[in-house]
Amino acid sequence: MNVELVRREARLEADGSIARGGMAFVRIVFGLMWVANVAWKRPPFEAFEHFTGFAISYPVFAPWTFVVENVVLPNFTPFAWGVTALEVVIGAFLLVGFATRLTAAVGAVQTVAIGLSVIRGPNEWDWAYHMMFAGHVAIMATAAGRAFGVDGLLRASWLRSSHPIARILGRAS
Amino acid sequence: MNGPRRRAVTTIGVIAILIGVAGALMGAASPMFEVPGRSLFRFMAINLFGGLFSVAVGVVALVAARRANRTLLLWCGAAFVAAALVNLVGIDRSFNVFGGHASLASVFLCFGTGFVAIALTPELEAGGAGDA
Repeated sequence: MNVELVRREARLEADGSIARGGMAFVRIVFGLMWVANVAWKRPPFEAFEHFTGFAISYPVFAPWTFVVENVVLPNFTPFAWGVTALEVVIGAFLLVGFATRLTAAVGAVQTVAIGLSVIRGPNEWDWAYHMMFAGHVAIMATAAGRAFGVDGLLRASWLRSSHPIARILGRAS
Repeated sequence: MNGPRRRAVTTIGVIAILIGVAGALMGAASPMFEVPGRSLFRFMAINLFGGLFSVAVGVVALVAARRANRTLLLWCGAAFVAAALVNLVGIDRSFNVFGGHASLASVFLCFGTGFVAIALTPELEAGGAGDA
């Protein structure tokens, strides 16, 4: 068996035009998902508080239920503003492909937080949250912002700069 | 400003103009500073002023790309970032002249981030060495 031939044919097509276009498409769709789903988060955040309360009424993970009941809900307004701002940033950065690896990692963590609250709620389809998490992992793993995104355009400059912010962006992209 | 950067700015600018035109057309029959504005794509609120703002800044960004003027591009990015902040902190508030919610904040932040990042990042010199 020609091992080199097998390895060569099994390599990922991560840099072909179809792969790049595909991953940019996934990144943009996930960005639009965050943009669309931040629209209903409006003060006084009643709907948001209702869904967050599912962590107590439909518990998934006891420590998370404890945190929601004793920390989040008693301080819900600042929590809601913080989450809304975070999701605004996640959506924006995924759409334009900026600091994409870091943004996707944050998106994955946020997905876990959302899932721990609502995944057992009424009329929920738990696979939606599994796929949401998997999508963010894929965006992070492929550094999808380098395809048709700001990361791809500017990363070479960031990596060759001595400026600390540029070096951070180089790693985050 | 090299070719890829110019194309990127042009792409973002054209999208900003298209969204602005759609928002302005949708809000044309309503008060200019209506809060909240009409919903574009069923989730993104924007009023007539917000639409005209997006068109205006998008056009200026295209001019900046054509003239390779990074300072002008930086101002465009700052304008979109500032508008994003107004939309976020001013959800359903009368001072939010753009009539948007967090969705419009995210879209404006997307435009602003792209412009600011491209304006502030020096281009690589020929041969690959970059200036700090």
